[in-house]
Amino acid sequence: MAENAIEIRGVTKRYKDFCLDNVDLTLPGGCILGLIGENGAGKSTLIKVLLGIIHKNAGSVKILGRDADRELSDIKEDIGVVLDEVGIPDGFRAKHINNVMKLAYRNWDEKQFYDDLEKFKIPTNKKFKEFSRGMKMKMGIAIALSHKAKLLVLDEATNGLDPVIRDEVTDIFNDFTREEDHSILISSHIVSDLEKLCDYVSFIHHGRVLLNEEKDVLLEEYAICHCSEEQLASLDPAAVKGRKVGRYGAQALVLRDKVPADMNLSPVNIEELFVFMIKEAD
Amino acid sequence: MKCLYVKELWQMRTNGLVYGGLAGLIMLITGAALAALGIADGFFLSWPVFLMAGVAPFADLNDDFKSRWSDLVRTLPARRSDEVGAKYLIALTILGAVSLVYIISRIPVIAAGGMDMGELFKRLALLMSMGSFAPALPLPLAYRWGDRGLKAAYIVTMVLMGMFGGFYSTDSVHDKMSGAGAAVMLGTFAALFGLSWVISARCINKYDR
Repeated sequence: MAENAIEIRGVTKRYKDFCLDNVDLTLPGGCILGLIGENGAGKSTLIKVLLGIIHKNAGSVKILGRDADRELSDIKEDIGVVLDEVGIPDGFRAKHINNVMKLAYRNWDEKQFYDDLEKFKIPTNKKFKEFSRGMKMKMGIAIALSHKAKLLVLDEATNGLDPVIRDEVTDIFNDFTREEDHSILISSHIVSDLEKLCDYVSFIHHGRVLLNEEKDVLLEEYAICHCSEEQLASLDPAAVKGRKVGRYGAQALVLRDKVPADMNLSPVNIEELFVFMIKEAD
Repeated sequence: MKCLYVKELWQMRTNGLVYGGLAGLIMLITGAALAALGIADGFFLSWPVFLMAGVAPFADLNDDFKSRWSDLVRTLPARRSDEVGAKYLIALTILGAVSLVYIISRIPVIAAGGMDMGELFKRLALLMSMGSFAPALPLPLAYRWGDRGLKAAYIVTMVLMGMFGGFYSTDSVHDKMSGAGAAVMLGTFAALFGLSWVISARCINKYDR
């Protein structure tokens, strides 16, 4: 069994008007974890704490089995990062990026970088500011993939991309995880992107992690129950994880094995699971 | 650190350093020509060049905030203090380059008898003190308070530099200043620059932007 790619324990980050509160999160090695939350839920804050972009107030972070508080600078050799804004200076062309990155990373692979740019159809003679959002993201991904990283951390990397490019990007990430020690943490508020891609999902809401579980286990454990309000009221409260009552009846997110077998259940998808849980938490 | 320094060099280049450098060069040479011909003291054409050189690093930092390089850099295998170090080193590099051009441009003036070595040193000390002070104030504020700090510091620095420039431009300042006085002044501003570097490194390690 591979070691965990990421272990976050009790991480807290306090701002005046927001708190990332005692967060625990685990990404098993070789897997893809989707960090799902609405805008402002704390996804980017958590990723920034993970990468040391901002300081945490409490808690511990282990990345690729190593203590991030002590070895983060060295660990970053093995992490490829794509932030929601890629962060390349506007006037830079591919050659400038290559010249900087080959000095930044011990394992920078110039050939792979240019091969990826060709594969992603990114022009090498254009300035970064002239790129479309899709091209910028793909440039970020090319950088992240060109130094033999074992872990990719992607913060809202697919947001704002058109469906064709999102599909291409998804394929790139799937290719990356063919190596068994390669892992990905990807955050988004677009749940459908992550549903296709992820082995694990984690829901974050108002700075708290509501769940961190294997996707298939979640889809097996939970179901949508279609019933009347009376039937809903008769269910074991521990079985009901979310509810929606309308004019024509009720829908509830339930634990399959805690409701009577004769209930009308339908499979749940991650988006429904997320919406029900967030509404219940509110 | 090396990668961040190279990034600064490329960024200066892509941000129009070539054109800025060319403009600076023309101003220094014109000033030198005026002085060599005895038409006017070229000092009034020199100090704006040193001011521009001093301002360049924090204009560059402003671009870092805009492009979000300030976040990306923290994902690279480098220490936060390297981020600061690269910025101060580029400030020194630019100041060094401008000083070198200034010295070279004054050789014909010295040859024509319009200036002696002592005078050259005094004027260079005044110019370098201005060029080093320009980034010394805003950079710690930017590393403490991010782009908000940078904007406030930019305004204060421009006002101070304008005042210094006007003060330095009057002939009486370098006429009255002794060589030792110029050396003390240069040493003081060098110490301020070093102190600014230390404070910036502490700020970046302690605070989040």
